[in-house]
Amino acid sequence: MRLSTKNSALGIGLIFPVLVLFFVLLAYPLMSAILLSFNRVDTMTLSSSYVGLDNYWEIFRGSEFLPALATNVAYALATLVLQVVVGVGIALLLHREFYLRSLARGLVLFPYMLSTVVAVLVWRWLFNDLYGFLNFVLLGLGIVDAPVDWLGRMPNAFVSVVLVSTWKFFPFVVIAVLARLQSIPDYLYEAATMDGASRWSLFWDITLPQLRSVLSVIILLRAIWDFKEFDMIYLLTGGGPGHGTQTLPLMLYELAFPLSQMGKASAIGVIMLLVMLLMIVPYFRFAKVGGEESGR
Amino acid sequence: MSNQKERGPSAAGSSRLALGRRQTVKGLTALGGAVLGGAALGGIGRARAQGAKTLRVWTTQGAPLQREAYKVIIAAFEAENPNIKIALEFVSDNDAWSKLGAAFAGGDVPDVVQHLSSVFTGSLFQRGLLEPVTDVVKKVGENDFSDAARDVYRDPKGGYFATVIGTAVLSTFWYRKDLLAAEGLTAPKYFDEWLKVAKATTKGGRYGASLPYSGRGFTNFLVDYTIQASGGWLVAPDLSVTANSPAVIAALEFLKEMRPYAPPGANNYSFDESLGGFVSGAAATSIYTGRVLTNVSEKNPTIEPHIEALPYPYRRDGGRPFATNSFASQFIPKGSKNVDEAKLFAAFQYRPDLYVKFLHSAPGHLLPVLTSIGNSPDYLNHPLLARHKAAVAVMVDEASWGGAPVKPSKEHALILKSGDIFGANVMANALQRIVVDGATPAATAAWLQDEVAKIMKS
Repeated sequence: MRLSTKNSALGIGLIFPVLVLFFVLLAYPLMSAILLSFNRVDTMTLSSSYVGLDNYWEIFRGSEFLPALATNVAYALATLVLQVVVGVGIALLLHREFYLRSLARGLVLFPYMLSTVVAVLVWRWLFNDLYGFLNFVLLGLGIVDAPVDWLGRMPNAFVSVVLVSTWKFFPFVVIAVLARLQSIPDYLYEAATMDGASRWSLFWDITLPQLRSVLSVIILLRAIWDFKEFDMIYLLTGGGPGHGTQTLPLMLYELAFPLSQMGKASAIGVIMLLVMLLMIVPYFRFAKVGGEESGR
Repeated sequence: MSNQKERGPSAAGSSRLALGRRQTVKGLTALGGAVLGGAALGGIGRARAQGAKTLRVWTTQGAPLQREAYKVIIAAFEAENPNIKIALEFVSDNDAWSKLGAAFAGGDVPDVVQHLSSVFTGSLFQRGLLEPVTDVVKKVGENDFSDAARDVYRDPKGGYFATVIGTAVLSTFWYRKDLLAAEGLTAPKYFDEWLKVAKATTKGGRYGASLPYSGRGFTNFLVDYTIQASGGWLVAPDLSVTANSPAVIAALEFLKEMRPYAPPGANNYSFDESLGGFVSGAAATSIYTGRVLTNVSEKNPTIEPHIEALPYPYRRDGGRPFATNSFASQFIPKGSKNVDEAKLFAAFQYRPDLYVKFLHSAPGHLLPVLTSIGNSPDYLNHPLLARHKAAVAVMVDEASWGGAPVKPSKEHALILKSGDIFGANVMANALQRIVVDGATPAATAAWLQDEVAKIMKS
């Protein structure tokens, strides 16, 4: 079967904008980043010279990369696990009938709707060592003798960043899981209840398998977003104390702007892409295998 | 054979529908193009008709009263220049260098930048990223600038690559007379005395010194000041790096000794937090510009009668009196599309009534750099400045003999890499290595030497 020339032209014409968008928004920036990573580039003047793999070599040889990568992975894993656990738990609660449920469902979205800058300002005030609410309560209750240094000491700073990130992003999990919970047929629970299934069994054997597809997407998206999280960490701790909360995106930023080393920063960006691919490809395989098994 | 002819009747129907869709898409595209094109042409037409240019102005000074003063200045400028509109954007001191980097990299620079520390202005000049503003300086009155303020941005050919819009003495030492008196102590002149004061006043939820120990911003300045007050230089007058010297080690040792007497969260303190610690009454001493006066009188007036200022303490053996000027700059980045208009706006800042208005929006924080203004009753008669004559006199005196990070002493050549050094946060990171990671001052000084040397060579 052959398409007429007129239809072919129209088809190409319709695809062309997508190709242009793909090239402009994906292919060109990606290729530029890769090319930049092989050059020494001054961010301000954009003057550059080809250095081959020197940027990568210097990054791997430096003392900051591996700790930043470890912090990055630890942060992404910790926030992801907490978001999923808290998000699923609260979605299950909000799925039940109770007074003012609609209001509670609205309020739970509040942290997600808040801009990151505002959220961080609020939390920085709560964490403040001299007049912060958390220290005020802890001192008032006699739990501590002196204000706790939440953001200037490890591991407090890391824990604080993870907790604030979890608070900010768990509503995303709630929204997605709640939507799926509402579409699970009631007869599944009714049949299992008639067969004498316990509440734990209802959750483990019905709810969780039904949530599998949506959790796969949530975990994938949140893992990507958490791995490249920048603004929350930068605004809360700036990567400190020392380099205690410095992740790869913060390292990239430091190199690109304060240090004016765009080439090396691009190399970090390329490494981040590879690390994410290394994490995501096995995940896809796992999710696919799991999906096939549950489909049998 | 066409695709259409192979289909059955129902397919023919859908084919007609498909053609209808295509026609619709074409029609919508044409309509959209016409609308967008019309809107664009209309916009151009309006812009041409009005002939207005918009100047993007960046400033690091965004306290509420300063914003009000800016409104007055901009309104006056736009009234005199109806074809120029000002779009004011506020950037923080902590982020200004990074944001400028992004602006230059993206080719989207502001037309005027105001109040950037001299630390960074020299580095921009070295990269060839600043428009000459010699005509602006001459228009304002070259001889009206104080000598130090005029010369700091003079290029090797005798022209100017920036103007000084005011100066702040960030190294000014602030203390609470009442708290020191309660301990039977006098104001410290030397480091050991300051340490003694800090130890004695740290009790009951109050701390001896509200100082920044974070890995950014203000901490770089604190380390630099302490090095100089210890008798050392990070970069010597001949531009050699001298970070691994006994004076630098002594400075780092002193800051380490002071850490227990700073608030618990000081490892995350920069400008705002350090200022807030002193203004809130939680600390007995601190260092900052004269902005302390405004903030105390507005936010904690009960302590206003008890605050006083002195020059930064220094090391008793081998140290030297120290003061530094910010020499807040005003410049026009290369790449500005409105250089002539930007120069008009830059010169307009110095109109006496408006200049005084801006200085009074944060009394004592920025000191005038025009001698005609510094001596004028209009400036000096501000009630807050009148109430704190002694503190103002200290800052004015410091400004008269103090250096600047870009040119720490008269003997120094311009350190054109100072922006890179401060922007890279190496001094702040050095201090964090000591107070967070437990490194020794000697090892840290050796590390600092290497880092600064790398930057100077780059």
